[in-house]
Amino acid sequence: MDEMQKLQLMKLEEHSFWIIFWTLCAIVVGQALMGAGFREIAGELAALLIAGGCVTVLCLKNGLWSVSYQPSRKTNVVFSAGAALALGAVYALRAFLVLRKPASLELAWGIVLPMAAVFAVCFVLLEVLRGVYKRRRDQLDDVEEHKE
Amino acid sequence: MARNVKIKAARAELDMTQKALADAVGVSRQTMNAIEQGNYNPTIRLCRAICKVLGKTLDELFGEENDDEQ
Repeated sequence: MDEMQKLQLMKLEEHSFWIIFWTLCAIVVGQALMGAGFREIAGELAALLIAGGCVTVLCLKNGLWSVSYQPSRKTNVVFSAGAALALGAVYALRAFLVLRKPASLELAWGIVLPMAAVFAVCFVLLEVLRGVYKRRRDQLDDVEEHKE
Repeated sequence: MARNVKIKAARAELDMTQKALADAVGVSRQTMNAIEQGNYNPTIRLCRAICKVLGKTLDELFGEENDDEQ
């Protein structure tokens, strides 16, 4: 296999990885909407956590963040809010469409509180990762500078 | 990306087929064709191997003037 074929294979593998990743996400959401408990989706969640964790650790180790987004507090707020809204949507759909619960203040809190928790956890985690990324980036740039 | 006609011309000078050049530098004919068609940017290592086989310099085969050719 020559360099172009290796590059093509890597691109195919990358696309395949993200197709599998997002398909698994969709499956988890779908199962949650159909009323599946934690035990039923534990396998898929474990696969997602392992894949996501590996990508995160390897990217940080190599000083990589994202192709499309700069690491900043603003983007971290946006993505944390996106995750919270996605969770809220799933919880709300599950409560009204699957479990057929009547609207109540208690139910609203049952949706809003997990959303707030997810926002907080995501934001803190992303901020910690941003700090780690910056330190690693400085470290890698410093090493490259000394080698010259 | 512009087509690299200089490689084709250099091959013709040596009466070398695309397959022969590909074999000489250790890549597939598909890759050599992609380089000549301007669909793939080879690494500097492969560029140097191609130059060595064709007896040309990097500038002669991959110089900036190639960017203007269609």
